[in-house]
Amino acid sequence: MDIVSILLNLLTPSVFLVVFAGVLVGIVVGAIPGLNGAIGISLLLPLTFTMEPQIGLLLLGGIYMGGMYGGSITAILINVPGDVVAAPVAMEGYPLTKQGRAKEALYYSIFSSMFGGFIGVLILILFTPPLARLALQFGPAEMFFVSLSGLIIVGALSGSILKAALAVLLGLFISTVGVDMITGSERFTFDSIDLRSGISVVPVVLGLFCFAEMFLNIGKKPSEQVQYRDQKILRMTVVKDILSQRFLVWKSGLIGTLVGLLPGVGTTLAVFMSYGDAKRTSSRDVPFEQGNPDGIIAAESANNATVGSSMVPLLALGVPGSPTSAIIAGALVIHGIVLGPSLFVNRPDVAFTFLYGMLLTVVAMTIIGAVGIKYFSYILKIKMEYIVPTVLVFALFGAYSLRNSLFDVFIAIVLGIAGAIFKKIHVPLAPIIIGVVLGPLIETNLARAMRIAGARNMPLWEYLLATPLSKGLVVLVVIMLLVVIRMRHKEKVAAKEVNNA
Amino acid sequence: MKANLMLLLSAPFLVAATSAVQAQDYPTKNIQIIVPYSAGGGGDTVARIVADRLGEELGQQVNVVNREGAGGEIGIDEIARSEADGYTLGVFGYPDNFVLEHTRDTNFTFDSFDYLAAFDDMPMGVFSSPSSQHSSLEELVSYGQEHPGEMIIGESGALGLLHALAFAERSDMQITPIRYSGGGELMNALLGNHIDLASTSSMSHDPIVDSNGKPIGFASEERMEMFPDVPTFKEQGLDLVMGVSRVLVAPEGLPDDVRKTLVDALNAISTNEEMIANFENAKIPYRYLDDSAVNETLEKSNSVLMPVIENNLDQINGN
Amino acid sequence: MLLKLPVTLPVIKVIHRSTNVCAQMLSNLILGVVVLLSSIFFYLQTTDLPERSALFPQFILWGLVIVGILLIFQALLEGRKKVSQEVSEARREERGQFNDILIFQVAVPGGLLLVAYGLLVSVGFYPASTFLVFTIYSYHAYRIDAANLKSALWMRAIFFALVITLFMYLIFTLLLGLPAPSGALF
Repeated sequence: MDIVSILLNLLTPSVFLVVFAGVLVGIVVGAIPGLNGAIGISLLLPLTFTMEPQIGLLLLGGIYMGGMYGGSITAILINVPGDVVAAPVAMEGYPLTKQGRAKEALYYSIFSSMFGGFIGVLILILFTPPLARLALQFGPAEMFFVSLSGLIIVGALSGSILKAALAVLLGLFISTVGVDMITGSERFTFDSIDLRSGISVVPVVLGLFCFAEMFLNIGKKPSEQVQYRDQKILRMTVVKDILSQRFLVWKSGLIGTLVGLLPGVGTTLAVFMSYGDAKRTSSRDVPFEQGNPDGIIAAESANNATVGSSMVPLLALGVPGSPTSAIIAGALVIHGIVLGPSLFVNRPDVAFTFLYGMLLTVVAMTIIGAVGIKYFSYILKIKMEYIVPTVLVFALFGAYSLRNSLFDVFIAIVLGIAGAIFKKIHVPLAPIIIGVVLGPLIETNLARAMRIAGARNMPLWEYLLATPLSKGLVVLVVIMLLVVIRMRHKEKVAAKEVNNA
Repeated sequence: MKANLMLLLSAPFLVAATSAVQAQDYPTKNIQIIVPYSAGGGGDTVARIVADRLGEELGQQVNVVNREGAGGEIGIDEIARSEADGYTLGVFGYPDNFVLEHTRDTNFTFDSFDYLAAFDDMPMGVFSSPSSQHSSLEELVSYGQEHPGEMIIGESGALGLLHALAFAERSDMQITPIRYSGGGELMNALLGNHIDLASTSSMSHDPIVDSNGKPIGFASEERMEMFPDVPTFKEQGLDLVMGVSRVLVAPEGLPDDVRKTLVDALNAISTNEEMIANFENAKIPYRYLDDSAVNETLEKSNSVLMPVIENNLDQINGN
Repeated sequence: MLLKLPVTLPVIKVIHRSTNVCAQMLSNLILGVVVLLSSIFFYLQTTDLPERSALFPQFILWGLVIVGILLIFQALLEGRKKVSQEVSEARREERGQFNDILIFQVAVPGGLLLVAYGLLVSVGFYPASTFLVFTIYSYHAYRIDAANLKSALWMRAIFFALVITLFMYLIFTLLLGLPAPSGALF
């Protein structure tokens, strides 16, 4: 299928409609405190079951893109970063709001998101097909290392190392429940028929993200007064200013893209890396944490850049790069679409429509973001008492509809209760999901590697390191470990400084 | 999609109309077909082709649900456990259920299912990887006999494993089988040269050969019409005939009227030219058996397979 | 180049954490004990499995045992540090807050959700959803201010519950034809 016919395929009213609707939903759920893009995607998942696969995918992709941007609205206007990812934007954006420059801050945020989003999607378009061709080279050893690298990033990023390790291991453990694919023996099923088919990812996500989050939102008072004042500032002025900061937006977008490529929750790492870099290199004479637009530019371009690039491993290798792309993978499975190298051979229509359609999500985000600014403050006024019950029943339905399984609903509720407790005792939730997603990949590939090594009479490590590709991946894992150790070291130093002060 | 949006806008006005439709007999809601394999393999392809036509014929949406795992056992078990109301059907490759039943402690038996139709008759085959030195059975066997246990054969299901073991046994080789969760994954592993051989159905012929993999032979009585160049094992001196037939089943105990509606619908679509063309495009040799023919054929095949399973039981359980 | 980047994430987190150290100590101890005991329990389940199936879960459970022990150690070490009265009072208060959260933010909504699940299994999705929206809406208002519970609120809650349920019915059941869990009534 040639590019021209794909582009023509894209230019249908239904594609435009779906992309705009997806982005709009994404921005709204991203902006509502307590919700985020991942929740939005899991709630609308059932809607995509009856759509054509590429249309459904673009809807979810739009929510993903919009949600990434939407988080910054809350951060800027009421200083409530939805999650850690939006913290830098809150630190720079809210001071601007207090100075009456909210509109300007929102412009910085949307246009940086636009540049970042474009870079990420361009990489998605350029990298995925060649990587998919290379994907056949990914044997048991390589897949094992790729999945392992995801666990390391996730585990190392989230608060206390012990609790992050606990979360990862818990996720891996959940993934082992059910009939073992390789030998057919039952593990931890306690003779329950339902447990035999295992615990699938979507109810886990719905439980940990939707239910747990909503529990903790119950009783939250409406957000404080939004201090949005109109301001005379031209969009072009902001765009020009963003571009005049030498390479800032490109550099940050690239950091976001590269970090986002690695499976795991790379977004947080990407945002803080590029924010830290902006702090070091900014040439503005505004101090940081007092409303320096460079902080917004760096953080926002980095986080939207991860949207595109985190789908590269998903589409090319079948390894989800983030909890969000794990849910998107769930949607593809419903349509009988196999991710990995065969996707581009068997369903080029789906693959390429999605790749190029993601460009449209960036366009839609920019248009909605640049035009809708004065309406954003209304989103923040939606009352929690309407949001919480609505999200809960939609999540209830979503948990059921993936496999038409009441047991899945039960699992989601139980994990919701557990997740709320975990959240309160600072056990991070995202690593649990990544553990559930990557567990089977790690186990089956390790088991295959052991068997092949055994048949070839070589030690396991020799087989694992046999190809240049697997050696390269090990080097990558080691580098990531070093980066992470360095981050943690800095954390300790900073902690001491804070305690001394 | 466009139609859906139109519907969305006019939904409130349709309430009355739709509730009138619901007063009719089976089927009044969506039907799901459980496929016990991951998406993209042969069983999945058959299920999706049939689901489309069956949905049109019955005037309801027919959804395919992949429930892979444990070599098909999880999904087949789930079909057997489902309510026999006609809203949950299953498509799987016979004799996966039969092999599982006699090699593991399964909850289902051959009689847990009402076999409504069969759609194809596809021989198993052995393919070698693109980097393999062996392009004929003879070369392969002599290498395998000199290097016992070193050759690795991938398989993706109970029948694949049985076929791999019978292949090794009858050619006096020791080979190491490795499990993959579906045909697609197995093919990628073979084409990436991560395994030496693949035990899979003839449907994988084209994608494997296109990427320089080599067919060693098919376990059929005669050469296949679709692939006249691929020899059978029999003509290469190896007595091995084994194949898969995708059957559409319901859990045992369907109400008579529901069963009749389904059987009629299946017979009606069995001659649909578009559907047959879909099978041909997917390189699946189409062979329709109606509800009485399928039962007869399967019973006969059971009696042929049973001794093969018994001979290899140790090896199957050892893996 | 990657290694040179200064990173600021920790600072925010540290401030956040230092205020929470106290309530965490006890919860860490309990968490450690729960993790340790349950991983031993699950480990015992793996002993009958064939070696190839048991390997990976055993590996994970070993990891969990170690994490459990370390959590207990960490909590005990924290607990032995002498603290001023001021701090211990703050601890007590935080523990009280934490218990509040457990009861009001976890136990009550979790319980409501389980009741809704019971309804889902017995009478079907739509009655369950009406129940859930109604109770959660009212409970939310109650948590903000107990004085909110007036008849006007009940009416609003019922109305909202019906609207949401109708909306879901229109979209999922009528428009998309997705199966909803059905029970005796619907």
